[in-house]
Amino acid sequence: MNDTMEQTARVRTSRILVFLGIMRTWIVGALLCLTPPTSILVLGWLSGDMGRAARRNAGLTAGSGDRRRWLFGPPGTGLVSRAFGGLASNIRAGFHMAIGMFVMTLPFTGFWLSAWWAGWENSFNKGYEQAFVGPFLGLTGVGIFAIVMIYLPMAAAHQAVENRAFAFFELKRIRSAVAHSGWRYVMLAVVTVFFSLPIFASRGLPTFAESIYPGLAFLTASEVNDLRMTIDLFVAAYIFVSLVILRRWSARIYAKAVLRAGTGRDMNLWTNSALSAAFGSTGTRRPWRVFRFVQFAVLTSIWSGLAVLIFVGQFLNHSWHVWLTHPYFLLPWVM
Amino acid sequence: MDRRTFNLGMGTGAVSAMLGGRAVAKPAYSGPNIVIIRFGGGVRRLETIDPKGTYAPNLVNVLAPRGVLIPNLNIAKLNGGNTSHAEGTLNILTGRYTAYRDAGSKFLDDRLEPTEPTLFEYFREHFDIPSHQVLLINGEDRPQEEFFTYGMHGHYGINFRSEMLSLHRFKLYKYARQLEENLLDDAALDSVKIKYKELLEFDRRTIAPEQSPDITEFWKNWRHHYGDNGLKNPRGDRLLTELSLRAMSELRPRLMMVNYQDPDYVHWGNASHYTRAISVIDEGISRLVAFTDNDPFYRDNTIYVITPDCGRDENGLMSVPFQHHFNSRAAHEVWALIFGSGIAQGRVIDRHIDQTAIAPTIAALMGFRANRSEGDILSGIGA
Repeated sequence: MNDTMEQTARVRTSRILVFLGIMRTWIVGALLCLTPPTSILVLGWLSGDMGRAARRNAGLTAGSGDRRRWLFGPPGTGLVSRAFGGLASNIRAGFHMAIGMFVMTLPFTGFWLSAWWAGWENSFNKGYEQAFVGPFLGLTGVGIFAIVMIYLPMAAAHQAVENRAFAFFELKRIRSAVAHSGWRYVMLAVVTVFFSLPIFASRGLPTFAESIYPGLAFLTASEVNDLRMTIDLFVAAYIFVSLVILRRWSARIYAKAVLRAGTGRDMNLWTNSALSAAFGSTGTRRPWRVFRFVQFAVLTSIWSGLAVLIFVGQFLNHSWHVWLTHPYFLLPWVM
Repeated sequence: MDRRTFNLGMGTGAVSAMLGGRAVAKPAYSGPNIVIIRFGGGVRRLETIDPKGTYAPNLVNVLAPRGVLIPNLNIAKLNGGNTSHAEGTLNILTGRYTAYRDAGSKFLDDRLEPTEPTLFEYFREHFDIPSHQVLLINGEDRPQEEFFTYGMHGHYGINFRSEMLSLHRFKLYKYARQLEENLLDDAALDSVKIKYKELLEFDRRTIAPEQSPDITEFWKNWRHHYGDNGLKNPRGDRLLTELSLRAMSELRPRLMMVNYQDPDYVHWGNASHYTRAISVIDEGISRLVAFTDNDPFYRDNTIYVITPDCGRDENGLMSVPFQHHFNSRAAHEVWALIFGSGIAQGRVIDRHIDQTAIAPTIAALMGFRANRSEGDILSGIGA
């Protein structure tokens, strides 16, 4: 009887500790999402978390050193590594991921930034002769965005699993993973666009803040700052949680895709993959070309929805930097 | 006879019937000329009349000392009221709130038409003034405001309308002439026909008047000077200044409203467009005032009334706090500057004044009553 009660108490305590651990992770993650530099740590933490999720999904055992920590390193390492190993690892992985994402997204963010500047500058000055420049740059940017976003979640998962600098740009492997990803990858895109609605609202709703809360007009500057900070905290918490869900999901999709690709026609591409230890011996057929074409077309149109949200959000509440980053394709920052 | 000529005839007939033959000769107008400047597109006090933050140094340092500054002009908060450009302009012109109705608005195109008489109609009803001396100068970005030249009120309306000067009107003139002249090749003519039809269809009013012969002559001169391609004339709010200067020179308007608008470009987030546009308007006003100061027809007999259509937001939650003007407190806060013949100099009226006071005050300065306006005539502005 006493043993049973002790066991129950241990389970309860363990659950409470797990819950507190989750809460700690969430709070720290949310706080780090408040500024661009600290959001790089979140990117690194997420990278580690994705790698772990992918390895577990591939059936590779995860040791205690595999668990992602904000500050401490894994047990059994030297004093300095134990004290700051997690932080160093997050910084390193975060920079790898940030650089990869920045370079991959720059072709469309650069177009968007230029389009907005050139378009409205031209419109303000009534430059009829160059009226096409803004819309041309903007629409080209949307086209590039829709294509890049087909590969970016898989590239991020690949970077996270391989944990090497510039793994982000191993385009053949990433294309292979996308080709073997199936409809789950389409669902991931749909859910990502759906999850981006609250982020869009966080940009758009302040425009109508006085209609929602008339007292805003009479707040002092410091009270407005406090309100801004409260809103930012909620948005940061949402960004962190939604990213954990989406990135873990994308890591699992990646793991499944790589296991298929690594045993099929693309097997040569995947030798020495971080997941190669999990490859089975049975061959998998590469998906039909028609399926891949349909998947490409569907993904393009789904990701265009996120571009629309970004543009409408900018019409409502403009900031230059918002053309360059979004929590779902670069920095996990409240913007 | 085309639709417009027919409609004009019908309109004229209807008004004559209403007047019932009791038309009497109206007196010639001998009062001051009035230039109303809509410092438009929505501006805040901070970037205009506040010496610390102004981007309109001419307004603050040169013109304000010449007249009466009303820094605390306000747009009342009413159900159904909106702090936007068309609404604010009609508040100024009619002296009433919500004196307008929807005239077939589409998405992002708040097309309104006045349901109460405008200052133009009051003025022309009281005095013997031809339509080309009562002018509304409109910009190219807000063609939906082309139709403020007369209201839908039964007693006033089309016979007392003002004339409109704008690129929209010039294009109507130009396309009509190009079709008459028949000098273009077939493809170009077809294109002109389509564009002309589109412009005609843009005006959904049942009675749409042709412009007067004097205005037609004005466009003839404009076309001679700037040509047909639309790439040589000044653009944006500078175009409005140019139209106004040419109008004052050629048409001698006695009542003219200039609807500046470009500060509204900040809607798309470029804060510098807002401040730059304020400076462009400031330069434009400076040119207009210099003209009236030096022209014998206008010198010592002209009053300027400068006032925004609406304010803009002061939203600390946004990176561009004045990007919009969505009925917020600051969007209701405007101002007015009145200066010129017979107006006190260097005076500030700091009490709370309502935007509807502008129309009856202008009417009083010109010697008539805007009897359907709701505002009070401003006291304390005379020299």
